[in-house]
Parts: sequence; structure tokens; C-alpha cells
Amino acid sequence: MDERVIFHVDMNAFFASVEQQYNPALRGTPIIVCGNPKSRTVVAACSYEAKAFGITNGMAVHEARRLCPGVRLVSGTPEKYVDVARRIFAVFAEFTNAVEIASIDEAFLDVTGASPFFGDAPEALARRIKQRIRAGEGLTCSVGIAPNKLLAKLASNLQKPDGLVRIRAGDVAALMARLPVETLCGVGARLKASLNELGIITCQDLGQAPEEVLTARFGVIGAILKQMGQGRDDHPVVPTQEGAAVKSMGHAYTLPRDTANPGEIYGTVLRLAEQVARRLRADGYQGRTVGLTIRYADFSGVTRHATQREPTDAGLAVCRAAIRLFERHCEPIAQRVRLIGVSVSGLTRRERQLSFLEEDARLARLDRTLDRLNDRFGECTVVRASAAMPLIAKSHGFLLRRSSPSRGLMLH
Amino acid sequence: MGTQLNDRISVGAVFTGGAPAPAWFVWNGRRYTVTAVTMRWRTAEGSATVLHLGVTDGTNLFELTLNQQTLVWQLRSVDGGGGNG
Repeated sequence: MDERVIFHVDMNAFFASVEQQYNPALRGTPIIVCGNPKSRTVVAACSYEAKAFGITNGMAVHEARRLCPGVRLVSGTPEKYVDVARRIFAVFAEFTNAVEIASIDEAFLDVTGASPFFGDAPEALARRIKQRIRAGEGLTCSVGIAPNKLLAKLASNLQKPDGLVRIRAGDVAALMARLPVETLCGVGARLKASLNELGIITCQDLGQAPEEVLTARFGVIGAILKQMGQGRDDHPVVPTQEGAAVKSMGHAYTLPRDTANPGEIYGTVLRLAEQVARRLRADGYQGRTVGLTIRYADFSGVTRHATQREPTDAGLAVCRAAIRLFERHCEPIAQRVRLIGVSVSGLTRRERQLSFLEEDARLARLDRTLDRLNDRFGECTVVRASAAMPLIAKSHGFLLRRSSPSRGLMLH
Repeated sequence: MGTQLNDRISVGAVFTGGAPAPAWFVWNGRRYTVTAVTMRWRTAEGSATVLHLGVTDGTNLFELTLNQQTLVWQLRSVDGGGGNG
């Protein structure tokens, strides 16, 4: 069988590059993209100029400012990034149907059949894609070309920014001999440390390690790790439109300030639960397992899950499950809370079943009405009052909001 | 992020293949000539699609929007350059 030709396209410092493209005054300067720069936030993305100062994604903004006092802070605009990414993915689709979107700024393309069709060698095809993205969006990307996804991703990481690296089957052994294990996708700091303890430093060491040793230490992934060390990966590129099933949906929110105020905490839990439930309904999913993550001021935290008897997409059901988790695992409130997250997992496609309970039917109608209002007038135009009030309202009141909070209208 | 606004403005634009390219706009009685469109993106505001355009007059950066349902142009922000640093 002919060798597969897989591309991994990784947009370089995507959010920061989009902002530099949007605002020419930011080009060539160190910038970080974050949440509201006036509130506590972390670095979501940084430009290559900022990386040169040692700034990394996930770093606290005050730490980034310490490293580079002149760094520019830009409030992120997710809609902007999503729309630019959509146009870039459309470029990929012009060259092959097999496009697997790995995240907003990276994708795998199987161009095994496409390359001869376009009359180009894979490298020339990659250059055409890079040129199209640069001409259309003003952005650069790194492309890795290899016989499988593992090596294609490794290749795209070898040259940044604006790279183009091809790993051929014949190059793999020599490459694995010199690359450290942490260059393999999925080998993070903790796994690297564990591997190093076993004397495994390079990818080649991993590929040559006895499988029983790896399995004894790492369990079922031992065999997979050995394959990775040999540069083997049989996973196909799964076109995103055919879609791997969504496993979970969640939202997290860093509070403007650390707080132990129950009203503020419960209100945020409720609002996040409503948002998650709305996404479930919009995408036609229900889920059985509700998760709650609480991160405290000292960055310690808890994540707890509760599985319900029936799958749900109802806002109130997700709210109640999340609140029960908080009451069970986080009360009394031991210290101030920094971040709250709510998720729903164990997702299945929604199968609408009629409930014999009038209350359930009434709440489902309520959710659908809320969805229609928010679809028409914009996200969070109408929210459950208990999610907006400083103290929890046990009633099912609602708050009708306009653009100015001072003009809000409370409905009970 | 510059100064946030929501001002209605008059815009002269060339539509090519359905995509508007502003040539000039009038804000507070002053006419600004657009020298470049730096970025385009779309958002949904309720049931309306809103087209956002980053444009510059060579000095300042402006974010213009066109509500494709009401066909109203607005100036959303003005930035003298740089970020919030």
C-alpha cells in the first residue's frame, strides 16, 4: 500500500497573530491576548515577540508584565478567531475532503489522494495552502508532512513559525534516535519525568523499551507508548463533518475577585449551568453526568461529578445537580473561590420522550421559550433571576436584561 | 481595545461579490478615508448577522459593523494604536 500523506497544519500563535493582523500597530510587538485586561486574568495566547521574553500561555498576566513590562494586553475576541478559523478550514477543504479539525488553530489533512490530483508534490501542495492562508488572512502557519498523524504533528512542531517539515518513512529511525520523548504529542512533564526515571530519554529509547516494563508502569497505555516511540500511528484522519461524537460540554469562569460570598458563588454556578444546558439543547444532546469544578484562591481545587438517573438537557436539572455537588463537597466554604466550572458529560443524542410529570413538561416549555428569546434577541437577554441576583431566589423568576444593566426589568 | 462606541455612521462602500469594502465614512461630521481593511468577521446578534470590519485611515484603527438585517452601519470602537498596555 502506498504511504499515507498526512498534513498537520498549526496556525502560529493564532489568537495573537489575528490581533496583530487586525491592528497593524501591534505587529512586531510583544502582545498577549487575555480576558478583560482590567480584571484578573491569564495569558490565553502570546505573540512570538512576547514568547521571546519567556511569556507562555496560561501564565498570570502580572507575571507576564514582570517579564516584559512593555507587553501590550489585548482583550480576546473569540468571535473573531472563530470566523477567521472557519475561513482557513474552508481553504483546507478546497484541497481534500479529509480534514479533521483538532482545535480552533490546528487540523489534520489526509492528502494521500489529493497531492497527485493537484499535480504537486506534497511539499508544493503545502506551500500552496500556506500561500493561500497568508494571502487571504495575512497569517502564517507551520505544516508538518508525514505518513501518520503522530509524526505530522511532531513535524509541524519542529519548525516555528512559518515552518514546513516533511518526515518520510525512511527518516523516522534517525529522527527518533535524536528527539527527546517529550516532543511526542501526549508526553507531558509528568509522563516525561516517569519515563526518564526508567532511563527513557529519547523517542528511540521508548520504542526499544520492553513492552512489559512499560505496561507494568503505565498500564494499558504502555503498548501505545512503545508504538509512539517507534513513530507508529494507525489512526485515520476523521473528517470533522462526519464528526467524532461530542463527549462533554462545559463552561468555566474566573470570578472578578476571589469570593466566599455564597450568593455570588451560587449565582455563577447557576448561570454556567444554564449556559451548558442551552448548548446541549442547541446541539441536540442530553447528558447524565454533571461536573462541578471549584478552584480556590490558593489554586487548589476540587472537581466532582454526579450521575443522574436520566439524561437531561434541562437548565434547572443541571443547576440543581451542580448546586447539590457544591453543597456536598464545598460547604462550608473553606476559603475564597477563584474559578467555577460546570460541565455535562456522558452525552447522547436527544431522544425527546414525553414526561408524565407536568412539572417536567412545563420546565421544558420554559427552556424552549428562553432559547427562542435568546436566539432572537441575543445571548443572555433573558436569564433565570436566581442566576443574576446576589442571593439565590428559589422561585423561578426571570430577569429581562437590556444593553444597560440599569434598565433591567425583573420578572417574578 | 480602544474606546468603545455604538455610534451610527454614514459609510461609502464598494460591494464586491456581496462583501462590502468601506471607502470612507462620516463620524461626528468628519469624513474619514479608509486606506485599508485589516480584518473581517461575523457575529450573530439575536437573529441578525453582523459583519465586523477592522479599518484604518492610516492613523487610527476603527471597528465598523454592518447589521445585515437592518443595514445599519455603526462605529463600534476607535483605537489610536496599540493595546491596553
